[in-house]
Amino acid sequence: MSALPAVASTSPQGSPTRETPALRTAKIVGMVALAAASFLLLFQVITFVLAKMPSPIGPHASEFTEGAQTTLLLTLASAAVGMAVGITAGLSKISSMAVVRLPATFYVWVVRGTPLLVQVLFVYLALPALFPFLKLSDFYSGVVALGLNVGAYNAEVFRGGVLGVPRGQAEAARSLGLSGFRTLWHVVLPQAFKLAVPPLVNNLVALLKDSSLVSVIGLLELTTVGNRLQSQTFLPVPILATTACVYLAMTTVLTMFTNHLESRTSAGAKRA
Amino acid sequence: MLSVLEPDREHSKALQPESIIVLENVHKSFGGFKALNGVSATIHQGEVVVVIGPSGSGKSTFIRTINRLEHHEAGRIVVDGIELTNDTRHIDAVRREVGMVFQSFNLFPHLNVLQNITLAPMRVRRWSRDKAEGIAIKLLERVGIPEQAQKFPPQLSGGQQQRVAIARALAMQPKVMLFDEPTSALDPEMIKEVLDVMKELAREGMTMVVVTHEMGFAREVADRVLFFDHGEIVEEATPEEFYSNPKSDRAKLFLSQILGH
Repeated sequence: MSALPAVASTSPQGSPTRETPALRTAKIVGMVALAAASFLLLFQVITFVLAKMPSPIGPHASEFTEGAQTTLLLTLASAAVGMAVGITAGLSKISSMAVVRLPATFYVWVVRGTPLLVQVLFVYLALPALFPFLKLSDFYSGVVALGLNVGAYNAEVFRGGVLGVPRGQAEAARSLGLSGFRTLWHVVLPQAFKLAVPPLVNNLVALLKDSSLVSVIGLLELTTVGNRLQSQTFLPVPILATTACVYLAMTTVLTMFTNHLESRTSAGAKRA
Repeated sequence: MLSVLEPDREHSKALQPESIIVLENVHKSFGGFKALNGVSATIHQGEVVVVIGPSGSGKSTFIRTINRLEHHEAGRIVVDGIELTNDTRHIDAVRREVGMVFQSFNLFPHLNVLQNITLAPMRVRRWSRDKAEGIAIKLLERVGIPEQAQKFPPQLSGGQQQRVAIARALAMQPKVMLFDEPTSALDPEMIKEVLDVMKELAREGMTMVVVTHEMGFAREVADRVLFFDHGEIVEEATPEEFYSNPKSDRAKLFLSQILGH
């Protein structure tokens, strides 16, 4: 097999090829580990700094930290639920089958059209009244309510991502004989995910803040901690300022990592 | 070189021509616009057919109905003995045998060149990775860019991307290749490298349906020219006849417009 030398290559050579999948996976695992370590360190720093503060903050420093940890855990668990729900509902919304499409459209319509506060109360109070076996702890009620809420917003993100992949991509895949499922799996979804990363990241940061609404059912997360101390001490200014600062520290650390993730994928998208 | 992949192909032209694509009275409209208005055509094995016509004449729709990227509303289309209906098994069977090359290349940007070529053979033909990659490398050598195997599509020039797209379609070992304006999106200096690959393919006996305005290509390798206007085949002739002595007024007008400057 000799090459056809008549056909010249004209593009600039030597541009770097992309990293191997193994290296990519290693980098992602490294990032997640670094993020986890950063949050552990952040909690140490929060405890340390708050403990130095005068009353009413100093004596309650560890309560703030425990509240912040619950908030983070609640956020991560809801984000995982929201991701799974979002992919399922998002893909269902663009299905050509009405049986699949209509329930997903209904779900997104209801969730995006009602207040999150009402949804949290509904999951905690109304669901067990309707279905006794759905009596969940305050934490899992929060995870279900927040997860279903962010899932509806993620569904729109995934739907937008899939619709953002040029039509020619699916046409090329189908013309090669790939089935509809394989076209979606190997060609459309990988590109749709790339488009979905920035808005998904926004949803994650918003979720961290929205998790404060779960305080309404008494789950001992950061806002509840602040609220209770405030009603014990009647000192709203230092207590609520501290609560806000802890949220700010958490969203700042989270945003540092999500910015990095975004810049990685957008660099990929530019090359793509 | 194609004979490595398709041992019987080079003799097929000499034998009695067998029809591989048959369209009978095909209609297709988009909203109120009639893209195909009763098109009938037969394409024989080993034949190279160039499709030409003004924009909006239905030429693109014509070749897109052959692998059912567009479904026809009336009439019959039979490809390699399989009639195209709503039956997805028939559609997938036809698509396995019909390769397509697009104006805008449509390479998969998240996969490198080698993965672009091996995706369908591995997933549809169920070849092993070794077999698929071996054939992909040979095809890249044929289209003159074996050194680009590990690159990603955006790192290649337009001409190189289109040659990868041709290799990707050939990797499925199709019986027919469809080209939808393959050089229209290319810078002038890159048109030749793509046409050279296509001419080589034509000489090796591939059945080809090519929507193109490249007269040099048509004159050199086409057996027939189909001239489309308003969703109909207005004229059908050898390239020699068509370009030097068009019969219909519409073809004369069209040729004067594309050759006039």
